[in-house]
Amino acid sequence: MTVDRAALEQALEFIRPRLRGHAGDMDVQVDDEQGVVEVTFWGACESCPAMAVTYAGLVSTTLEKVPGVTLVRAEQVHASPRALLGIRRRLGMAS
Amino acid sequence: MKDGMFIFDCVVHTQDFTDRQIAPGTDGKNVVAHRTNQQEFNKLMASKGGPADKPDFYDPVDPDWARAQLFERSDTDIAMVQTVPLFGPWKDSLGPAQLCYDLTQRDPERLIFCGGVDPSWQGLEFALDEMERQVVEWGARSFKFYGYQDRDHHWRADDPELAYPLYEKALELGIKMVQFHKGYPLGMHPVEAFKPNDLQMAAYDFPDLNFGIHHMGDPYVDETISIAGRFPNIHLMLPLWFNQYFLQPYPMLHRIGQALLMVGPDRLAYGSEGFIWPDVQAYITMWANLEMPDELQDKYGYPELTREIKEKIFGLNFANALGYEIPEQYRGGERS
Repeated sequence: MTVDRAALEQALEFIRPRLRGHAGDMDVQVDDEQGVVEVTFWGACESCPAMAVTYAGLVSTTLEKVPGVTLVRAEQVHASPRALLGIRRRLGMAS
Repeated sequence: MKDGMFIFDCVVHTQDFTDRQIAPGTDGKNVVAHRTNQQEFNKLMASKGGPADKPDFYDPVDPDWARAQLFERSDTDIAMVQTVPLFGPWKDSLGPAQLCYDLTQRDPERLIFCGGVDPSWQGLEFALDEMERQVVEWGARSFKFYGYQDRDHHWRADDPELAYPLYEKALELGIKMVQFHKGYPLGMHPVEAFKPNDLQMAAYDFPDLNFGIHHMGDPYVDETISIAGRFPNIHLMLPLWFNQYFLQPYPMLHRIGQALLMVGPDRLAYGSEGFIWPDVQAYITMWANLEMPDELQDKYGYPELTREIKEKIFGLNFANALGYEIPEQYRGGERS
C-alpha cells in the first residue's frame, strides 16, 4: 500500500500553520514503498527546546494516521523513544 | 581503541604552573592562586574516587611519560596537545606553544598540535603571522583562544576588527575548527568575560568554520547548550564534564543528558585534560560503561547512552569537526 498523498497533504495542512505560528516549519521526505515519512524541521523549530514535544505531540501522531504510513522518523529529534512515549502518555495520546 | 571504538582525546596539555612563569613586573598572585586552587581541587577529586592526582602537576610533563600514559597505559589512539594562550600574568603563557609542539614531536603521528595566539596581547598582526608560522612550521590543526588576559587586554569572539581576521586566516590556512576556553577562568579574572554568548554571531558569520566551546562554559552551561543547539557549527568539548563526573555524577548526568537532548550526539567530544589527572584510562572506562539511569530518562527525557553515541563522542565527532582523516588502523569500530 502506498502512502495516500491526498491524506498526507491534509495532515501537513493541519500541522504547518501551527508551526508557522511560531516562526517554524517542516518538510517531509516520503518512501512510498516502505511507507516511511522522514520529517525535517526548519526555522525556529530547528533548534527549539520543545522540538520533541512538537514531534511527539503533534507531528508524528498526525502523520501516523495517514493511510499507508508505517513509520515516521525525525533525525533532529534527540529524545529517546522512551521519552517520546512519555510525552504521548502525558498528553493523553498513548496508554 | 576501546572495545572497537576509536578514541581521540580532544585536549591534553603540557603546562608550566611554577613560579618561573610569573611575568616580570607582576605580583604573581594569579599564578600562585591558580596553582593552589588546582592542587586543592585535584586532591578533592581523588578523595571522591576520581583519578589520582599528580603531585608535580605544575611542572611540564616529560614527553616519554606522557606518550606512554596515553598510548601504552590507556586506550587513547590520537590526542590533541593544546596550547593555553593565557599570557597576562604568565611569562610564557599558561600552556606555552613551544612546550606543546615539543611534546607532539615525541609521536607526531598520534599527538596533534593545536596552536594558540592572542590578538589583544600580541597584537593582531603578530597573532596572524604566528598563526601562519604555527601551521606551516609546526603543523597546527586547530587554534585555541582565551579571550581575557588582564584588565587592559581582552576581546570578544564576535569583534569584526580583532576576531574575524583570525577566522579568515584560519580558513585561509585550511583550518576547519577553532576552539575557545569558556566559563571557569584560569585565574582571578571576571567570569563574565567567559560567557559563550559572543560565539553566536561569529558562528553565524563564519559558517564554514567550526567553533569548539570547552568546559561547557561552566557556570554558563545552560546558555552554552542552548547556543550550541541553535548554531550547527558550534561544538561542545567535554573536558570538565569528564573530570567532574567522579565528584558530581548526577549533576554531570544531567549536563550530558541535556546536551544530548538539545544539541544531539554529533557535536560533543571526549577530552581528558591530561595530565593534571594522569589516569586517562579512568575516563575512558567510565564513559564506555556509563548508562543513563532509567529515572533520568523517564523524568527528564534524556536519551539512552547507546554504543553509537559513545563512539561518536569518543572520537568520530572531533575528527569530523577537524577534518581529520582517521587512520585505517583505527577504523574498526566505525565500520562495525
